[in-house]
Amino acid sequence: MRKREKNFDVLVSDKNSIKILKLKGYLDAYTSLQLEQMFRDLINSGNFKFVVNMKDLSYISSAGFGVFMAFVDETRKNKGDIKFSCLSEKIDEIFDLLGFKHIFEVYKSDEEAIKSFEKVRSRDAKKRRK
Amino acid sequence: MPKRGENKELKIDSRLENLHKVREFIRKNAIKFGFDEIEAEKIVLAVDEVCTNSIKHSYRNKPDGEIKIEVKEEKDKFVIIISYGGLPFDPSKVKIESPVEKFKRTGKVKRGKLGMFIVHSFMDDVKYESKGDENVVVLIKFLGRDEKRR
Repeated sequence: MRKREKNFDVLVSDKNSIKILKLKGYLDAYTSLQLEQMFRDLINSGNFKFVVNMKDLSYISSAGFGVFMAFVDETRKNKGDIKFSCLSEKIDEIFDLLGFKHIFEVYKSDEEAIKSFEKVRSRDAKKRRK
Repeated sequence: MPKRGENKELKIDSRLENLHKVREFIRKNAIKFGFDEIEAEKIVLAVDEVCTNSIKHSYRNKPDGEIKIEVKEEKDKFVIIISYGGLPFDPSKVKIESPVEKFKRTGKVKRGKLGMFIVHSFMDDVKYESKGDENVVVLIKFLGRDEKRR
């Protein structure tokens, strides 16, 4: 039996001032409206560091990618970023085919993605001390 | 061996919440035709993008339009014909550029036009026709061609 696509849901948690967004279901032109509003609200309240966990995401279309593309420059201008973790084989392949790994950082786990933010933070602190 | 020459059809109202029905229809038929999961996903994405564009741009999000999706199977050729009304679509006005190229060129990440890039990168052939008041997009994918490229 092939699994039917479930709708869409986001679970948000915090780790060291980083927002971790766990996506579930499918992200298309319909469900991306919900994610777009969520990103807008989080950015408006001063959050700029994001890890997007895609373990339970079954599908992503251009509208879904569009949400990350719309906000990533704003997060980077504010010393943040949108990074991705736990891509399924299928979505990993789509990231590759579209060349998104040249634009976005992709990690195997949330922990690796979180660590990569910490590296940037310690590099910045070193710069400040100099 | 999958049967060839069968035609299948799906009609939906022009609502974004119906896109998942189109994807299920295309995925099921593409897998049955013999495409692997990744190839089937590319076809699903391309069809989704065409239907999304038709709802957003041709029907301007009005929910009372109709989109017809037909699948035709000929030997190793999988053909999807998408027909819809609303405003005419002029493909010559669309500039297709990879998001990475755009990023390298401008240093900025901007959304937009990604759907058309997906359609043209993931399908072997894309044709635009208009029949009276109808817009018709024909998407073609050949079985096994991506495997040879890999």
